[in-house]
Parts: sequence; structure tokens; C-alpha cells
Amino acid sequence: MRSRLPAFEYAEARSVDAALSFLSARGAGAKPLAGGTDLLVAMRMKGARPSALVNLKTIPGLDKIEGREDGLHIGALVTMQAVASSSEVAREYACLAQAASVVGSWQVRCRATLGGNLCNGAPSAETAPPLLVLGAKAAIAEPGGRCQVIDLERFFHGPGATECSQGKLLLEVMVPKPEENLRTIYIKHSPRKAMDIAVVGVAVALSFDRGGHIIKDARIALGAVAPTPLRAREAEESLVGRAFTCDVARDAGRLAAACAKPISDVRASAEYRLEMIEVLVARALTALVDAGRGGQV
Amino acid sequence: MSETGRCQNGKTPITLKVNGKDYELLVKPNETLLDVLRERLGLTGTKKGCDLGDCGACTVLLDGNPVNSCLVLAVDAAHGEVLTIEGLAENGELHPLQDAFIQYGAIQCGYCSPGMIMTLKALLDRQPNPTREQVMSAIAGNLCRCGGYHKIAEAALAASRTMHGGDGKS
Repeated sequence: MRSRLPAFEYAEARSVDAALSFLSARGAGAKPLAGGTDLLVAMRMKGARPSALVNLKTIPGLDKIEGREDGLHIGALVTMQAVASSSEVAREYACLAQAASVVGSWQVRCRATLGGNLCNGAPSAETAPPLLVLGAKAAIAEPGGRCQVIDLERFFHGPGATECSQGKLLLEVMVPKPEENLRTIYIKHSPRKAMDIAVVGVAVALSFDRGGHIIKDARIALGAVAPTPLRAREAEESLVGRAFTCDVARDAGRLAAACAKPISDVRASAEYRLEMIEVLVARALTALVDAGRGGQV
Repeated sequence: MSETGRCQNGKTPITLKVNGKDYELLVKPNETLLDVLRERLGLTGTKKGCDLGDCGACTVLLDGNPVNSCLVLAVDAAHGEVLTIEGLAENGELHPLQDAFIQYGAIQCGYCSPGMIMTLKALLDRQPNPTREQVMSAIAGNLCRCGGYHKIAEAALAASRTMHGGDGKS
């Protein structure tokens, strides 16, 4: 039987300002609490000892998915399950729905939030590669009532470190309206079918010119293969303006692997991860091309 | 409540709604819903396995959604309504899932059964006619150490047929 959770001061925020004031008053030991599916495990298993937790779920309005003219606004407190089962997300942002649906278990997805997934700063965060290829932006509240909007690419600083690591709160993620005919896919590679984190995560967004043969836009993002989730720009550039062939896909896979700096750990060796990037990028590209020819992703 | 509702003397008064009943409790912030259910309310049908959100033995429904009660703070659960295995039977009648688990031998040691049944209840509430794949994917977060997944899926599919007015037999 495990020991109880360590003691902490607990507060429920009614507003973003109140949460920020609480965090700044309590200092570095205070942490925001969203779904708790990572934080409570870290407190039991990994020695995390926050002196105070401020519950963000009591702040009204942060758990909405809203389609606006400029794109989809997803509140930081929206659960993975809500992202995975939103028809709006599935319709235009397929890779994001796919990623959210393979996080943990159903029980975990019902609690875990999009904001928590991103703010933990895990290199393997499932929702990060899809959001990167979709060109997402993060709205961040700072003490004093300021709010800044940054490209999500600038959000991740390193393992466990993000723009929101100390004293700031992620409010929402904005995903711009995708151009017409943009198709997206997320492939998670892990030894188990469920309840596992990714050994490699690959998201790809692809569109073709009007004739349907020449690649107009290509975006590739990788998870779990570098200190942060990242875009594989050289691989993207190698695709644009070319007709799709198996060789083109394989080259893109090799270039994507060259962007990665994986580590070896209990889940996989660095060498294996590099190999799998090549395989999965080519597989993702092929699946999107097949889908465009009437097949299913 | 102030802008940030805060606890006093390390304990917070909460009203926990469990199986349609209100419980007035004074809890510490670090008490989990699982521990409060088992140790304060005596509802030991919900099991403690890993206490880390991996095994699903502690699954209860919070506002109709399956959650690992070991990963929910009791103070947090007070914002919703909890349903545990003890709340499934109505007027002394077992829920069709409970009946089917017995009939199909889906229980061996029984430790995973309450969590399995609660997850499957959430599934049948949303998807009255699930496929076997949907059943297996729903219970991906519920471990059965006896390896009885086949009979558990059989029982779930039988319960779904029963709930549609059939007799549970295919």
C-alpha cells in the first residue's frame, strides 16, 4: 500500500487573476492543479512536494472549445476526452483528435487537460506535435493582468520546462483555420496499444496544389525524440513543390530523423527512435496521400 | 468563498455527493476520493490497486465520466456527483452488467470487477450497442490480473443486449 499524498495547502481559484496572485504570493513551491493525472503521480512516485496547490478547474470559462472566425479556441482546462470526442476537432484538425484519443486510458482522458499536457513539458506530450503542425498559438496570462500570445513552438524550453513553468498560466490554445484540403495525421509509436507514452510521435499536415499532384504545403512535427517537441523543417522543405513518390517520402523521413536528438531510455534506444522517425514519417505521408485518393486515414 | 476559496486549519468542509446521498465531511486537501470513499464512508466496493492511475481498480463515475478515484482529490470531487459500484443496483435489483458478470463467469478473483463494471457502465450509457473493439478499448485502463478479459467482454456485450430488451443470449 502506498503512502498518502504529502500535505499541501489547497486553494480554489475563482478567476485567473486570483490564481496568479496565489501563485506569486506562495512562491516557487506553489503549483497550479488541473486534471492532476500527472501531478498527483509525481507527488506519490517522483518526490514532487508542492507546498500549495491552486485548483484551476474552479475558474469559469477555461474548459470551452469554441470555433471562431480565426480558428478553434481550446481552453487550457478542456479535457483530453473532450478534445478527442469533439466533432469540430475531428472534422478539421484530425491529427489533434487522434493524439488526444491515445493519451493514457479513458479514465485518465476524462481528467487530464490540454493545458496540463502542454505545461508538463514532457517531450512526449501527445498533443504537442499535432498542435505544432497546425500552427497553434498559446495565450498566456502573466501577473499584473497582462496576456501574451506566442507561437506554441516557443512554448517548450526543455524537459519539464515551458513558458508557463513559473508564475504564468496557459489560458487557451488557438488553432488557426486550416487551409482548404489540408490533411493531417498523428501516429503514436509505443510498445503497448494503450496506457503508455510515445516512444516516437509523428504529426504530419499535407496539402496539394489544385491538380492534386504537387505538394503545396508540408509540415512535420516530432515528439519524444528531442528535449522538446519540434518541427522538422528540412524535411518539410524537401517535400514542397514536388510530386509525391515513395522515394520523396523516404527522403523526408531521413531528413526528419536528422532534426532529432533522441535519448536512450527504458522505452527505446536513441538509434531505434531515429529509425522509427524515418519509418513513421514516410508512413504518415503515404497514409495522407492514400486518404486523398479516397482511402481512409 | 473568497477569490481563492481556501481551507481552514488544514481541513476543508465539503459536501460529497455519492450514490445520490450527500455526505458532510471535513477533509484534508491531500485525501483522495478513493481513500475517503473506502475509509471514511465505508464504501469498500471501490478497490485500491496501484494508487497511481494505472490499474483502474478504483474507477468510479464522476458526473458520469469514468475516473481513477486515486487521482482525484476529495475536495475536488465535491464539485461533482460520484457513482460507485454500491450505487449501481436499484431497488435490490442488480444492474444488467452485474448480472452478466455473474452469469458469464467474468469474475475470478474479483478485484478488478467493480472498476471494470463502472467503466463499462459509462460505455453503455454512451454507446448502448458497442462492438467488441469498443469494449476492449474502453477497458484499456482496467487491468485484470487473472487475464479474464475475454469473459469480461462477453459479459459486457450480453449486458448491452439485455438492456435492449433481449435476454442477454446471442
